[in-house]
Amino acid sequence: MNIDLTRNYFELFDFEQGYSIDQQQLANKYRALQSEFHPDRFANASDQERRISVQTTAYINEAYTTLKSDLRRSHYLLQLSDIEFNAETETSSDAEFLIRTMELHEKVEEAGSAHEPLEELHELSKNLKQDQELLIVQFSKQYSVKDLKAAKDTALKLQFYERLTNQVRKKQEQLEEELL
Amino acid sequence: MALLQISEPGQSTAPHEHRFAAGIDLGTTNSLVATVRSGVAETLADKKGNHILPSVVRYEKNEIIVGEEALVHATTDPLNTLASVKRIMGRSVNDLATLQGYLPYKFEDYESAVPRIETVAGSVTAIEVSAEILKSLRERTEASLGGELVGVVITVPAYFDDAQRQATKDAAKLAGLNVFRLLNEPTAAAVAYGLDQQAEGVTAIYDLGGGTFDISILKLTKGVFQVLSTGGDTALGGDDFDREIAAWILDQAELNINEDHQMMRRVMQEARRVKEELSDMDQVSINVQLNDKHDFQTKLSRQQFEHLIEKHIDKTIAWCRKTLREAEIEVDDVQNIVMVGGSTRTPYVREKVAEFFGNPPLTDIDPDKVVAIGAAQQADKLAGNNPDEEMLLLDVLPLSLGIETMGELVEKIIPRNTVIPVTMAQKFTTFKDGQTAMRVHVLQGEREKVADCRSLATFDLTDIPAMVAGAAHILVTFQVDADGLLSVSAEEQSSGTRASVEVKPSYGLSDSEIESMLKDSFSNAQQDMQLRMLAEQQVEADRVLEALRSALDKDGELLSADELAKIEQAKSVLLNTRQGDDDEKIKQAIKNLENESEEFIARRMNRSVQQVMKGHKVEEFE
Repeated sequence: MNIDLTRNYFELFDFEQGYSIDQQQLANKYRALQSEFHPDRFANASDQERRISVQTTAYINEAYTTLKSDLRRSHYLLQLSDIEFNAETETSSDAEFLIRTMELHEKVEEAGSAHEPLEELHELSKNLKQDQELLIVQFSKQYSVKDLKAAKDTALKLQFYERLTNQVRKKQEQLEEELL
Repeated sequence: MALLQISEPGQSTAPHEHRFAAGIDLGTTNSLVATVRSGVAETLADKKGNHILPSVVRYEKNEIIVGEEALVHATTDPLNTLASVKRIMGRSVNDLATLQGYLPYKFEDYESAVPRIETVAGSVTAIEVSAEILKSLRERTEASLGGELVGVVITVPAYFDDAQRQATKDAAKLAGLNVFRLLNEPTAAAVAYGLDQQAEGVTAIYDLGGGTFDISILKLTKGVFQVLSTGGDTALGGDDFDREIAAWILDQAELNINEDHQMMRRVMQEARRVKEELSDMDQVSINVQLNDKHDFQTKLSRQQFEHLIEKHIDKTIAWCRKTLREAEIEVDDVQNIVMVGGSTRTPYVREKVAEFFGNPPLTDIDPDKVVAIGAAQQADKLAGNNPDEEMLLLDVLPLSLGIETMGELVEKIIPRNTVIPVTMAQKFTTFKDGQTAMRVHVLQGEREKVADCRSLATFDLTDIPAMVAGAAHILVTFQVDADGLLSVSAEEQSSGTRASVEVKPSYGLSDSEIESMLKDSFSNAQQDMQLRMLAEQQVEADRVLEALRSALDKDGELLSADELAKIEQAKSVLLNTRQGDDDEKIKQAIKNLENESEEFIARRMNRSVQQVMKGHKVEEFE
């Protein structure tokens, strides 16, 4: 069964549809919803209610995770604006950015084989984070003036950073694993 | 607010009575049960005054013995005296190879993927063995409380996968226990210290038991507990300390006793005593009787001991570091460190942990009991004994869930550390013209290859309408509930047909196997069984009816007259059937009523979401 929670995630959390979100408010509203619908509230209820409570909380969780993440929220907004999107296969069409991605890939490789790889990688991930923050500001601007084409390109860039950050993290984990 | 807030099924019989609930720490080596009495959570002792129940079950021809009395036979009759079965809960026959060192049992050659251990009383699964431990704890609790338990909270390691959690729940079912919730052990420990009542903060739970080490990072924000990350080593613990001391003694005595198990046991026992005494003393005398009747004597200082065990503790600290990074938490952000497990009594462990976190750990509650105590507190809340108390423990999925794709690779569908419950849908399509069936293989784990992950189940999707290749869109929905257990449903979207899903658990027991075990366990008391099933269905019928009554009272206007009539019809059928003594019929009638009211409940759920948001003033969210 699908619950007819037809409201979109912004409506569910009673937020205006837009890129900027007050994270503190989001967290508080999330808690308010959770404390009403979490299956623990239905420990003594009938199987059916327990099942529905699981489905509802799953929906609330999904909405929360989407709104909380800068990347996912950007994808979601584009999706609500009917912008076709495949984050898996599409990449940014900005030529300059493509060159930058290659440089960054090289940097990750270099850091991984440096003398103090863990520190290098830590430094690199901090830099990546700064770049990401700039992109987030950019997306916010583009979305607010409804330049959706540009916003989509920025979202794809963000996606690239997400992947690269994960790569760095995997490398860090591998290196730490060797220490255990 | 009330969804269908009946939440107190006791109502129909005795509304104000305290409802008995218990928390159970079902451990690898030891198990405990605790309950809340007069507002205080405490572990319960057996008739002899022992709180700790060794997780050991002995099978004799006509008798099953659990705990201390079973343990005394562990060395004389190891094949029928089963210990540490938690290590094989939810494990397949194939997994056993890696565990062989730990488990001296004889495994039956058997078709089923669930390993069966041969004993004089026939072969048993780990689930049945665990059920005996749970039964023993249940009897202890009910004798002590003087009434039947309405439900329990059972703790499991945070990293337990779906199969292991399911196995634990199955064991509880066999033991006749209603499980409110499977709670992660670290979360239970934090609850015991009342950290869930604090405003905010990050807590590290350092759990060093006899044979396992776990570190968990929990985050608390206004009553919500979140497991951010977990790590650990399933082959690291206080037993390693014993082994280090034993090896040192053998080295000092210049003994080589490879094959002499008797001697080895004596040395190990001595090592254990020395370890425990070194917690309070700076130096301990060692005395081991050799086979030539001479005594070997020496002394071990605390400093020497610390040197021996340092590498093991360092390993735990490395895990702490790694797990913190996974949680994206800096060590300075950790406010509380909770110590769990008997091995945290070793002062050097505490010292090293305090040094790493820059903060002394919490040690006030007995580290052996702390998990059971926390579980008892949560069980008491879930039983509805403190309706006013805010409680919300959110957990995350411990290991990623994925499906097999081309090339024996695993594609992740729900990544680890996702807050549960969670639902994720995945689209599949047919690749052949007229294809009407499809097999989906579900796995759990972090690695990329199928062989490196744990196979959970295969699902056969059948009854897919025949179409050209790629035309059928099958939406498979994976749902993980609050206990971390997975269920799957599927729908063909273009035609709207529900594809049927048949679950073949890779190493769990199928529902029918559980059913037949339940029947076996009642086989000598057919009538009891019948009565029990009837009573269960009657209770469930009352719950459903009561829930519906209060829901209709509040929100009846959400229904059209026609819809209401249909529900009323189904309701009166159930009311009538409930008076009879046919549990199958009652079950049917419940199902029927549930189907009729499903849409109504969904509408109410929707409405209450709006109310939750509206009911709060904006300031509350700031």
